[in-house]
Formats: sequence, C-alpha cells, structure tokens
Amino acid sequence: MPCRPYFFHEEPLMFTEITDDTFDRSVAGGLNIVLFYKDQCPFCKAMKKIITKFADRPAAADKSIGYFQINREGNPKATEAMGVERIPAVIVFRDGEKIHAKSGDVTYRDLERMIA
Amino acid sequence: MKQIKNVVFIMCDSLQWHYMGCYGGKWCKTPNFDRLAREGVTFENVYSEGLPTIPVRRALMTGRYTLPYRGWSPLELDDTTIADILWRHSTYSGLITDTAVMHLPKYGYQRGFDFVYNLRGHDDDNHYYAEDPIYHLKMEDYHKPAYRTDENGDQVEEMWSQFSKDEMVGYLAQRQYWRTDEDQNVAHIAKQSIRFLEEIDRNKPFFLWIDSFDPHEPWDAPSIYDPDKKCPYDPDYDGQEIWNPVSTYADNVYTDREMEHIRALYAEKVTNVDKWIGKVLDRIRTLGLEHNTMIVLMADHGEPLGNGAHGHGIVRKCRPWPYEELVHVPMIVKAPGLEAGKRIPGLVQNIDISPTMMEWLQVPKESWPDMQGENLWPLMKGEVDKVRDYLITGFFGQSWSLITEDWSYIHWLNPVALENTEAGGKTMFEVYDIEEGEVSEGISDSQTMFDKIKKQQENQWTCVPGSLTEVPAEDGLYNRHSDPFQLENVIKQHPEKARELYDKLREFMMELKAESIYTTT
Repeated sequence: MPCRPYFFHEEPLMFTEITDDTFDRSVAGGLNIVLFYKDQCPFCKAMKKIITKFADRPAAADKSIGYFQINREGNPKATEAMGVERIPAVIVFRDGEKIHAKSGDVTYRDLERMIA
Repeated sequence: MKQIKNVVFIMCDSLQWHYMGCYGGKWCKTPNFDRLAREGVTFENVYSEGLPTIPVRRALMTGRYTLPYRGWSPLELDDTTIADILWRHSTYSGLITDTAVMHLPKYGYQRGFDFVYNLRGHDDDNHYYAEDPIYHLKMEDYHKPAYRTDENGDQVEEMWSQFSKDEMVGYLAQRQYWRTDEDQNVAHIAKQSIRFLEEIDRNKPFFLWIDSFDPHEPWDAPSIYDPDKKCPYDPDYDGQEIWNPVSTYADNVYTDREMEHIRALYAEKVTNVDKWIGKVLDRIRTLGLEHNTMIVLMADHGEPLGNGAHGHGIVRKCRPWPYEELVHVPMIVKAPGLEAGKRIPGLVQNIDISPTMMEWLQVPKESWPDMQGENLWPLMKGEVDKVRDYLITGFFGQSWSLITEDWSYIHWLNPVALENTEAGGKTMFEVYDIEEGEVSEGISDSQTMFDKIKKQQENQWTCVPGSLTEVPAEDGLYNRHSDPFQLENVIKQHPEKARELYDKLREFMMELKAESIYTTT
C-alpha cells in the first residue's frame, strides 16, 4: 500500500447520509455498505476514513458499491432492526439482504471478505 | 547495470539521545557519533512506536507499526522483513549481534539473513555462562540487595533484588576474565563487523545490520575491571560499584549518590560504544565504501535511570511507561548526496527509516507494499520540511501515547480490559497494584503474589526481570516546549487539548488496526 503522510487535514468522504425513513430503499438494490456511527466518536471517524480508503482499493474499485452512513442517535428503528449495539458498525447488504456485519475493529481484509 | 549501493545499519540498544554530544550532551563524550553527525544528517525528533526491544526490531525489520498489532512476540509468516525482501534482489544481508532477545528460541528474528553472527552471554542469554565457576569476582562487591519485611516480620530479599543477582551469576562468570575496554561486547561486535566489511564481495550490494546491545545494562564499564582506572565521569566516587541495578523504584534501594554513579557508569559504557562503533565508521571510510554506502546510526529506546527527567523514579525498563527518556531515540544518516551537518527537527517515526533504506538499496516499491513508514529522502534532501504532524509510541496493550510538535499525551490502557483486548495479540500479563502493600483480587498474601509474578515472567514483555505492569491512575498531558521530559502533568489545566489528543490517538490507532496484515488475531 502506498505510504501516506500523517497529517491532521481531513480526507474527503463519499458517504450518503441516510435515516430511518430512507434506510430500506437505500440498501434495496445491489451491493451496499452502511456505517452506523455517532457524532464525537473517534472510532467512527476512523471508520469513515477506512471505508473511504477501501473504496479505492482494487477489491472495491471494480465493483459498484453504495456507501451510506446513518447516525445511530436519532435513528432508533434502523439501529434496532439491524441489531446494532456497539459502534462503529459496518453492515453489508446485497439486494436488500444483510450479508455481513461487524462492530468495532474492521480490517481492510475483513472488508474485502465482506464484499466478495 | 545499476550502481552498487549498500547499507550499514547500526543499532545501539538503550543509547540515550541526550547523552550524545551531537544532541547537546555536555559531559558524556561521544566524539565518533559527533563526527558522524557533522558528516551526515541528524534527526532531532525520532520516536520508537512500540517498546521495548523486540517490538522495535520487528518494526524496523518490517517497516510497520507494531503498537496496534503485536507486543513482545515471535516474528510470524505474515511479517515480511527486510532480509526476506532482499533475498529476491541480489543483496547480501548480514546480521552481527549480541542482542540476546533477537536469538530467543523460535522467535525467528534472524530469519532470512545470509550471514549471522551471534555473540553469546548478554542479557537474557546470561545463563550461557551461569554454570561456569567464578574465581575472581564476588557478587557482594557489586550487588546491593533490597529487602522487605514479610508477613511473619522476617527480612526477606525483594524479588527484583534476587532477579538482579540471578542475572549477575552468568555475567560474573563471563566477565571475571575482562581486563580492558577491548573485552567489552561492543568491541567484539565492532571487530566482527569490520571483518564482514573487509571480506564481503563488493560486486553485489550488501545490507549489514549491526545490533550492539551495549550500552544496555549491565553497566559494567571498562573501569570496573581495570584496577588502575576510575570511572572517568565520577572518579571521586568511593562507594559500591553497582553495575546491574535492581529494576525497581530508585528510592527503594539506592541513594542519590549511588544513582549518580550508576548514571556515570552508563555514560562510560556509552563512550566505549562510541569508541568501538567509531572504528567501524573509520573502516567504512578506509575501505572506500563511503561513496556508495548509506550509514544509519540509531537506538531502539533510551533508559530510565532514576528520578525526575532521568527516569520518572524507576531504574531500568521495569514499567511500561513511554516517557521521553525512553521513547525518544537518536538517528543519524550519512549517505552520498546528503548535506553534511544538516539537522532535521521534524517528527519522525522509527519505522520511517525502513522504506528509506529500501529506496537507497534500489529495491522497487512493489516489493515492500506492506511498509507503513514514510520515505525520508524528500525530507533529508530538503524537498519537504516535514512528513508528519504527529506520531505514536507506547507499550502494546498497556500504554499509548500521541506526540505532536507542541504536546504529548499518554493514555494508560484500562488494565481490566486487557483480558479481552481489542488490540489482538496475546494478553501476556496481569496487573498487580502493589502500592502500600495492596495485592490484587484473588491473591491472599504478598508471597503468593510475588511467586505468581515470578512465574509470570515466562510471559515476557520486556527483557528486564522483575518488571511489573503497573501504570499511573490518570492519563497525562505534557507541554513539549516547556516540559519536554514530561514531569508536569497539565491534563487538568487543558482538558480540551487532552480530549482532542485522546480522540486523535484513538482514531489513529483504529485506522492502523484496519491495516493489519495478520491472518490471526
């Protein structure tokens, strides 16, 4: 993987924000990754960066993947429906069906396996 | 055919950066290191990311962080080392060392080197001589025991005092025949290194890793064995020559005067290392190797040596405390094309030297894709003025620290959580609170506690016997400008800054964990 500088500037993020109301139709078709997060959570901030970088890796770049994020606070329906307890939580959907889920630490290798 | 380019990488274990003249040290003489600094590039703010000895070796060999992934543990098949890589690129690799923990059975840190020379008997390998008869030296001349009163009111020797004696048995047996500085381990390492340089086939590039365990303890400097010599840094001392101090709080065992002398003996070792490594540097020059050889001199960590800035109260690395005197390391690089005498103040992580050496050796980048360090060539050439805004340091599973140009923040990991650590790897220890005679839950008396700790030493996280995983109760925030040695915790005065750095530290560790290359946790 290329070396990259460790600076404080923010990297651009490409997530679409979704809510309880838009959740089901957002993940209905195709391959989609949803990140459950909350504000002021450093681990969630890290997870956003990780998924952003993952999108550029060969395993993901040649696939059509939707990237979504949903704030756990204010969206209890989706949080409960998906069984999310610890955050950050990454859930992968294929055509609306939940196929993989992981909370806490996620590696790039984990993500590759989850979208394979 | 491309030009032949070599690397001589010189690691001096436990070499304190601020003892060196080229880093502003005023009293410890290091003329050869100083000369290298005048001829090369001196990095003023290099920090090792994972401590202590074994994590640093893994980090430098792989060019990867260890702090998120692994502590004191063997190399794994998932690790790709410089020696592994160079095998594919027609480069002859050599390792010359007396660093015993690189030779631990089944640890594999010597894997892949074409040539390996091990000098036996140092540190964890002191058992090598322990069965030999001792004729000429007496333990009591050099060991100051520490005692405690047990539950029966009897005086018994402290565990760490006994450990120090156990170490010394092998040392005394080996070193009873030492006379001059030429008998010291670093002299043998230097001579072997010179032999390697003289005999190597220069039609192929070579990578030589010289790993001198000196000036790591024991600090039996040349003056110990020469009856006509006094320690040059403390010639008026007439007390006991304590060269393998007990690994505990200094005030528990030693007077201020004794600690002063221990530091003087350490400094004398440093000067001896400078002398003998200087001979290696001289030989590189007289062999005409300077025109195509990159020389790197660095340390893995410093050394806690007493109170205040010397060591936050401890002697030897017996606590997982990532303070300045331990984690800030010297690094000097000399190579053709670099400006002589240049000094670089920017923050540098120790792993940055690994891709830097790979680039010098002309190994294509696709051969080292797992390396996480930053290539330092643009920084050394003055094309950029920094490569990082922050860096990390700490002890795996025990302490994490974030360092910026202005602040340092130390986070003590919750010891209760260590049983189920999210950091992966192995939980190799339990935490005992030994303040004021307290014992941890489930331990009925202090003797049982000490027995358990002694047994626990099988699960190693440092090379210092008697070490305890005892950490402060509160995280620390320190101003690097006014308090570089982290003596005044200002976390209460700057809660927002503390929170910012704590969040940044956790965010960064999570990002790094995502980059794990290990197939097992």
